[in-house]
Amino acid sequence: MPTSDAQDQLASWREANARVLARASTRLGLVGEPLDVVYVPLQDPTPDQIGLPGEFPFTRSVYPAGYRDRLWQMRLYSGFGDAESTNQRWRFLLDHGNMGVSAAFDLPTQVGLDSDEPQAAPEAGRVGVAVDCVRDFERMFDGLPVDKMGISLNAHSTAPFVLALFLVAMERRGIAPGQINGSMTTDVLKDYVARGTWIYPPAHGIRLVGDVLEYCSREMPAFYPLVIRGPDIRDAGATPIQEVAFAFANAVTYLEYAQKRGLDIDAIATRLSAQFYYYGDFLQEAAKTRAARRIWARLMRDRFGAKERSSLLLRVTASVGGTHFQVHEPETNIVRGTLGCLGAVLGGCQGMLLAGYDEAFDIPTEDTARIALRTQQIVGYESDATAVADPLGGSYFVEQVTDDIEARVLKAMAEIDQMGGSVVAIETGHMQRAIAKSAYQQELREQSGDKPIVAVNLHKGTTEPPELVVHAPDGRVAERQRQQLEALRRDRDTTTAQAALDRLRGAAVGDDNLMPLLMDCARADLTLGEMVSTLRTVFGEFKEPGL
Amino acid sequence: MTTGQGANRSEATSATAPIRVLVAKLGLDGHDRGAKVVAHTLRDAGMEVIYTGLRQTAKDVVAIAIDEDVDVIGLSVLSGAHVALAQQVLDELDLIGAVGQFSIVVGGTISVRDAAVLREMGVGEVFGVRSPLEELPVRLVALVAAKNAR
Repeated sequence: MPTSDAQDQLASWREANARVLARASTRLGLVGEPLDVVYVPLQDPTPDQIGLPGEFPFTRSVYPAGYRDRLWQMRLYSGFGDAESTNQRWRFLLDHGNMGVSAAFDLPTQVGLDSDEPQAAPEAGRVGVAVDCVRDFERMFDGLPVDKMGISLNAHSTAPFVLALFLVAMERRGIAPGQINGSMTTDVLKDYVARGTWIYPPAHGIRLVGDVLEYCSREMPAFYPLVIRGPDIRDAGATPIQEVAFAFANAVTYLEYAQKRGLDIDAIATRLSAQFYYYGDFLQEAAKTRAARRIWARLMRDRFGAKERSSLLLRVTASVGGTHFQVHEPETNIVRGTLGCLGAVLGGCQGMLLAGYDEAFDIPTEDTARIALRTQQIVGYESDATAVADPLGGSYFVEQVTDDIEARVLKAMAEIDQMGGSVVAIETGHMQRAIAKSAYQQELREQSGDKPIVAVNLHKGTTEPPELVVHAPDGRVAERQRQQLEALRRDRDTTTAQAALDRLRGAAVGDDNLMPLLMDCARADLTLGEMVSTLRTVFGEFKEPGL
Repeated sequence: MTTGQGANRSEATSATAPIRVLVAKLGLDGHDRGAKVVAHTLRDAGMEVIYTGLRQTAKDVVAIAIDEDVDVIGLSVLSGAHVALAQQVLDELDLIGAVGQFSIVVGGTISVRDAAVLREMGVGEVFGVRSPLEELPVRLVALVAAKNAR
């Protein structure tokens, strides 16, 4: 709400410029309403709304000195083929300034199938790296300074299993869980909402998240075990309001569950983070991050009673690329990536994944991944977007959009609360339907040209679709993984393996934390698929609600 | 699985019966944005749409197509495995002698070369990610009319 002085001024200005204003084009804002042509001072830019960097409610950034204290973590999402090809790509990226690794797993790994399952074989190593057992993690991290770099494991529904295999691989190298620095996605609820890589019904998925949170808060103090994910929701067609609201509603479910289990909120909240998508409307996307931080700070303090400063501040990892990147004239996606990157940086993110410009075709080649990394580095080191904390703070427009996004996200979250929480909103298909509707409306806007996309619906030109050099998949991955699995199952101690699986099954029926048991399974050389399917016999499988 | 509107087929045998379309997601690919947009578009155009939900096998898809007595089987594939997955469905249809019974269409990120391969295999229409939505029902109507005329 603008101040009354500003409102009066604005009214006479509108009158004086009525003719010009009447012919101004319409621009739909990210909150779903037309933007005004200009914004004026707000009535209530009080310290408790905006404040200073590093101070509650953290609207202006999580660190007092912004990027002058530390830049965001540049970790490209990367992995393909098998452990060796992924290790090689990671080395290439680290040599070019990637600050850690962010593992992309193939679809069979994400849904808990071993590479030798019939449904898995065509997808093995395709959109990420194929991993089945501890040996794969040993090979993948071979020679890398794992205790000196950040490691992101993007495993989603299979996060507990992937973590167990990874930690046992590290154990065999003499590295303890406490020495590992990095993060894991683990947010299973968003898989039902959007990503589609679900396994068990939500209640069991949430229990596994609780097991991971509890285990990591005890054993892995330098690790962020749960990234609350918005990007999958956004890329399925959600509005930015739905992206933040649904992701936070899912977070509420995890936190309520953790409290019910008797976990101390400050023991887990200090290690939570969130992830969002950043498209081309970079000023409004930046406002989104500012609004999300403010909502989170109050949510943690007022609803969950968190006390530690670190529990209240929302660390954000940015995703850039996805459906924002076009098939037409793909090199233009480098510019789209730069805009997304700017939005993420101006909003004050702590980490970023930026897609290759060939994202709409396939996973990145060495060249397109290098350009994605260079984009982040140029914005980070060569531009003044990083020179001051929250450079957009005080912009009439950005502050207004921050307020508007906050109000709408809170409203959408309240709706889900009234429904009975995010699990109900998922099981009844509320979230999925809302997203499908937004996706349809967005498609209509893009097809009609209401939402301009250069070279796609505007200034199409006559450039023929390029013969892009895209990533060449390795068709022999499934067969090599099959041979490895055959040898593993032949050579391991069957009695030990069976006993570990039996203990896992027994514990799954009760309330024990399954992480130590999953690690015992990994030590007994059981595979990801064997662990996942053992728990499936106890937990059952998720059934998609009809839409 | 989701059933479309007006699932009773017995009254739908007249010449004016709405076209019935199965929108199917095969394999492990979880990208259902396009499939849902297409389903919405076809329903708005008066067609009866059945959406399978994620992670179907070729066998599942053919079984649903026969159960629901659809005219068109639409496969949405964004994992890059469109040729292999379309072939699985065609093989499954061949196995039960039902190849001519359905029009098959495929949508996804599909290169010009792969689109030609798919048509050669017997796929009736190939839709890219930016295919104009208003063309979808028109092209399906034409496809079904051509099949019925054979």
